Amino acid sequence: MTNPKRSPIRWGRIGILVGAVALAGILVWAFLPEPVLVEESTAISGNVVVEAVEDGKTRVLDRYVVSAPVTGNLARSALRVGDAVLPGTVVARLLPMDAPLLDARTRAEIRARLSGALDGRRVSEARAHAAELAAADAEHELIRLRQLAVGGGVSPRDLESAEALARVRGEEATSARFAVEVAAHEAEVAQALLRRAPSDGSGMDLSSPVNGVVLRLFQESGGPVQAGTPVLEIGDPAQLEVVVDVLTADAVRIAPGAPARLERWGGPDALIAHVVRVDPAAITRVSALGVEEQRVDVVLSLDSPHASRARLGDGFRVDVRMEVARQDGVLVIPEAAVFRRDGGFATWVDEDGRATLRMVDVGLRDGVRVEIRSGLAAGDVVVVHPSDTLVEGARVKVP
Amino acid sequence: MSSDTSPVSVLQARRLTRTYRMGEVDVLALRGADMDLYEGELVVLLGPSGSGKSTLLNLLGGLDVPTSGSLKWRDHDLTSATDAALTRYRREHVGFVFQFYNLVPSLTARENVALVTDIAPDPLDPDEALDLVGLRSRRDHFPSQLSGGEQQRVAIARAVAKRPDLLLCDEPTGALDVATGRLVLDVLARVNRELGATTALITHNAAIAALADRVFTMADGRVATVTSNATRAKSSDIQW
Amino acid sequence: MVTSLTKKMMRDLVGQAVQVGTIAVVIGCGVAAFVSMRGTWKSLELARDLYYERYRFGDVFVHLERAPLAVRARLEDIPGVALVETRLVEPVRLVVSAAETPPPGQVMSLPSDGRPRLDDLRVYKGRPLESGRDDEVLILSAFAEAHGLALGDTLPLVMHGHQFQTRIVGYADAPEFVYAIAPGEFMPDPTRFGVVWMDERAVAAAYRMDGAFDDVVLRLQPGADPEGVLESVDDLLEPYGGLGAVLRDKQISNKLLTQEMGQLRALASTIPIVFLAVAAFLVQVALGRMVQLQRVPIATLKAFGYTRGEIARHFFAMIAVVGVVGAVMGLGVGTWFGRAMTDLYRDFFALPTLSFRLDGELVLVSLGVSMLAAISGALGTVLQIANMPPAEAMQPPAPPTYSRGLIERCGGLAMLGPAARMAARDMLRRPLRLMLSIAGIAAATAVVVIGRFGEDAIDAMEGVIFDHVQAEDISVTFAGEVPDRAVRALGQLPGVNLVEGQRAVAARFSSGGVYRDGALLGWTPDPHLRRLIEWPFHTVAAPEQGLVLTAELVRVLGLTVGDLVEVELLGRGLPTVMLPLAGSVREPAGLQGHVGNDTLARLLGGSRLATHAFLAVDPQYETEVVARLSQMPSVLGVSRKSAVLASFRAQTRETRSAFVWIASLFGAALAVGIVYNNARVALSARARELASLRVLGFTRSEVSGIVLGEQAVHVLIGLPVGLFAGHQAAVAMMSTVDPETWRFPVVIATRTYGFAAAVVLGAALISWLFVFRQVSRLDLVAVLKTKE
Repeated sequence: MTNPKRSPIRWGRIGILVGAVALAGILVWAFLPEPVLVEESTAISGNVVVEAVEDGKTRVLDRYVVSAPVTGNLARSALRVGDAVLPGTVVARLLPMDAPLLDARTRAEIRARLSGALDGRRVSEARAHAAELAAADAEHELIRLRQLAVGGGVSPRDLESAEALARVRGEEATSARFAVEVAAHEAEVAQALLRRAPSDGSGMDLSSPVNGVVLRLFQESGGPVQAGTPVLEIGDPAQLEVVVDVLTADAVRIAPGAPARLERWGGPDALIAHVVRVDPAAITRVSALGVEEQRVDVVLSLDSPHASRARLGDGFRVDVRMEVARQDGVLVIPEAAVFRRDGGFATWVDEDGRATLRMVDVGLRDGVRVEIRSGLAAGDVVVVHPSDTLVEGARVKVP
Repeated sequence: MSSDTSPVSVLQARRLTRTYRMGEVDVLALRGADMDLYEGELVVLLGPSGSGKSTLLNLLGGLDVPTSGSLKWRDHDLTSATDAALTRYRREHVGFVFQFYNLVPSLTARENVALVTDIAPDPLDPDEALDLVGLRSRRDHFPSQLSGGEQQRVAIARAVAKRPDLLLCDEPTGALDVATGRLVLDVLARVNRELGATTALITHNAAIAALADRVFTMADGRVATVTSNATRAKSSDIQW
Repeated sequence: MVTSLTKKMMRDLVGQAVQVGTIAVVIGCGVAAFVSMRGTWKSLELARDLYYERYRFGDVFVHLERAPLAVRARLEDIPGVALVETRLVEPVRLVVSAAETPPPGQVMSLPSDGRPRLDDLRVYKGRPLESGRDDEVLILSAFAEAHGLALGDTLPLVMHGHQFQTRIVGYADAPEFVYAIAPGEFMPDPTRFGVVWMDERAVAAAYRMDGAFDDVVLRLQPGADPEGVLESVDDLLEPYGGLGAVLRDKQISNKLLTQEMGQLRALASTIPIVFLAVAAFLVQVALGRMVQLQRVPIATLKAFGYTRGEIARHFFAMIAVVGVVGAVMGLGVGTWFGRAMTDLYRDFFALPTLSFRLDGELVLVSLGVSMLAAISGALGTVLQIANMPPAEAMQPPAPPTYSRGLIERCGGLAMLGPAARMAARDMLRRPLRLMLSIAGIAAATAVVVIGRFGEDAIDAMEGVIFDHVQAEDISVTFAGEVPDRAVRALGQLPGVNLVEGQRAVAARFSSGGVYRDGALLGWTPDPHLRRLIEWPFHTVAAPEQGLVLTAELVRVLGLTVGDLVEVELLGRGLPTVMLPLAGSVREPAGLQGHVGNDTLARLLGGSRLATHAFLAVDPQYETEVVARLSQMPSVLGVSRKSAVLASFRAQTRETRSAFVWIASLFGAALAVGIVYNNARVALSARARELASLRVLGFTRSEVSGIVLGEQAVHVLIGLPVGLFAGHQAAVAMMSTVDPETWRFPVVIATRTYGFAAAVVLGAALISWLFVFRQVSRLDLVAVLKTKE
């Protein structure tokens, strides 16, 4: 008969209470700020490389211009650009214009020229000798250091410098030898002219002093030429250097020896080169945007083996990326994750799904990556391209 | 039967008045009624319409609050009670039976009774209550499926299921024919006997007064006379 | 006796003031929505048509590279062409001030001798150009106001690399610049859309176009075949570098204006219907109850000889009053909203005569639909009561019959106590009413969702575009094409951390006879600044071979990966190429093809060139960089992302909060209307049994709980349905945007759903407070004594 004090209304009331609490809970949950969708990246050890990028041109290192030694009638050239020539290959024929090729004045001129050429030959021989000595020196030094290196007595940097120096000196020696040959040739030409009999109508052959390839023909068709007119240019396209002009502000930061990469030259892979020389004097140029700029030529030497760039010729256009500054093995995050805050730099770090502001000390920046000196650890996850609506503690999520 | 030798007065009403305001006019429905009700007795309130019997019953049952006077249930003062207190009073102590049954049409007979048993502290089982009125077999029927008399009996079952101290009936047979009316009165008498609930019955039909222990005749908002019956008649004995 | 009836009607209405009020408010909301939106649409249409008419807006537009004036006669000869207007339209740099980023600008020529025959100007301040003077200009008024340029100010122009000093003599507007948005932009920004008009001889001299023209506007003859004319024009102008003729529907300003108007019109037709339908439902419920209560008086009237017609008319009149009150409120509020909306539009659209007009049609339709809503709800009940014989009407109505429904038999109610079962059976007895209530709550929720979802879409869009697609700080437009060196030179300015170039060429993409005009873009490999992004921000790389197309373009042309696409590069001497489709990208705006920069250079037979550059700039140097860029002759325009973003936010902020407020109010009004009405009617209908419960000793809150429990079920089911419906409605709204201009996935933040739920729950709670009050005032005695 007794009835436990059970009331359906009470049960219903409990139900309503539970329902109300549940509803309130749902509402609170609904109004919680939703996690913001973000893009993220992990801080890892990497490189930051700042490069100066310009477009440059290739240039054959050693080129020799064959010019008409005297005024005469140049026969039509049988050679074409790209033809290979050896020392002594006849490259052009000069026929007499009319009777006396040589009068007293001309002879005197030629004699003077011969004299100059002989002097020139002597000078270049001396230079070549000096250059060879220097090359040999550098080579000895390199051998010595290499031996020391085996025992660990030499720092790798010193070894590298020595190698670079040996290479450079070797090239200089080659150039100097080339110059000697050129000078010798000049002397021969002058002598040949002098030896010539006044009424010798056989004309003269101009020959190539060097091994190479015809780079340019200045005069294709035959016709009268004055003394000194360039006829053709010969060079060895395997020996290429690259010239690029660079803003003076960048030139200051490019050191000889700096590594560089050549891209978009037409081949599949980038080529390796290094800076040989930065010209000391600047020239004024008008930029593509119509603004005047001071620019300086920088010369680079190709390091990639000839085989990988066999088709690369003279005057070809390349994109040159010269290293200006570099940091290896440093903590790196994308530039797009870093922004200015309170006079310094900051980034948002995703800690367990919440955005935390961290001030960071920034080192080298190359426009795409940033070196982080302090403030982050490897493995930290940062938010890339953060919205300016992010606040401390906001929930974030990767879609 | 007459009351015990040492009667316990469960309800005391002294100089109860109740005034209603109808627009511009004040209607004095009760003008100073006095009454004592004793435990376990069956009383009838007689009187013509407008005599204030319904008003008095409503006050006794805590459905309304007197304008002045005092009303005490055992030791509780009902005149100054709040609505919540009156609700509790009704919930725990009072059972009502109305002329027009007032069952909840969307609940079955049993459920109508269960409405009350669920909130009462010490109720009867709903089926037992229905047994008392002889309608257990109809317990799953909706009011629309029951006759007038059956509905009234269910109402009675509902009223007594909580084992009320006080059972108040306002014209319980008013809407019923004679035979059904007799049946209902029998039930009321039986409930009064078996459960010992103090029962007050309003009717304008004087013949019914013979069933009671005492009869209060009301006129003009006051209790005019109080008479006692030596014995309680049976419903079959009376005619109306 | 009609007057007594009328008095009765008025008193009845006043007696139920709150209930009647809520219904009138719901009607009012529907009418307000209708009046404001349709009224604004009509005003826009009127203003636009007038404007185009008055200033002779053309039918066909085409830009070309250069053609001699003699060609004009051949254009006139094309069948179907009624009028021809040739002119010069050139890019120009407007040196607005030393400090500001120079926006991209256009200079247009005006005939020296009189007004242009087509696409005329409206000079509304100052004076027209004086013939023969080469140092005067008219300037687009929105631009001038945005930059504070006054009449008489000097405005230096850089035309074709040379600077000219000109004086502003007048402010002008033109029908072809109603919607001032530059191609590729997302929002109209008057500060960045500059147009000046100058004497044709001066323009020709500056750009060396003497004796030539490079832009054409045509008027078609009535009944002409537009496609045929376009073809003929294209054929004729091809050798002169024609970029493709278009009709009005593709002219940028008109296209966007028409789209916007189309959306508005669609909204105006759909949203009010929801409100009015709910209103009809509420009327049906409320009036049904009221009539039930008045059975006896009505029966009495009939007994006294009132005809059916008179009684029916009486009730219809009462309903009509509710309808009229609602309509009047709606007209008032709607006019106010409409004016505000029109004002907002005036900021976007340079339509001089735009003003909100409440015309007779709007008023009549409003009244009509309000009446229709109100009366349709009342129809059933009134006819029923009018037809009932008086004797029957005198009787109390048969108590509602209950039985064990299907759900019960399955034991669905077993868990509930009797009180809860009361509520449940009552609900299930009238399933239609239950469903309509739930539908109404769902509608209220959906309205709020739609109001807010615009915010979510804009936020998402802002995030994708300004944080991911446009990762640059500054974007530069060059006057023409510049070599790689120039782009690199920009990178060497102090403060510039990174620079990337891009080349854009106008192109026509075709396949299988279908074509679309767009742009072909050449990308730097691995871009870090401006990027090609797919939602949400998945980066897509330009392919090494072939091209990637905007996904919508792939769909329209019916292509699959590997198919060949015909790409006609537009411009004199530019080739048409076939490229294989390498992939598609779901980018947000425009129709584009994407290839690598090298591919594009190869296709165009030259070296790598750029038409645009994007820079990442240290914030401390930004101003300086901008200043230096502004001085470069080959730079046509400079744009700072931070400024564009700020402008975007400022513009969208205005519209967003207004919309949210209005939608929330309307949704809340609907919710209150439904819940309150239902609860009131329930209270009224079940007053007796509720009073019985009170008598039995149930407390006020227990009894309220029973009534409110039912309402709570309506709300709890209606809410999730409404959230879903809101999402679907958002999808439908998004689909009205032309997919060839804009594409965006529907993004609804959880917060929006929560907000909608909160509004509707809040409204329901307010209604429940009313109910609770009513229950407290249940006159137990009176209720129990009545027969009915």
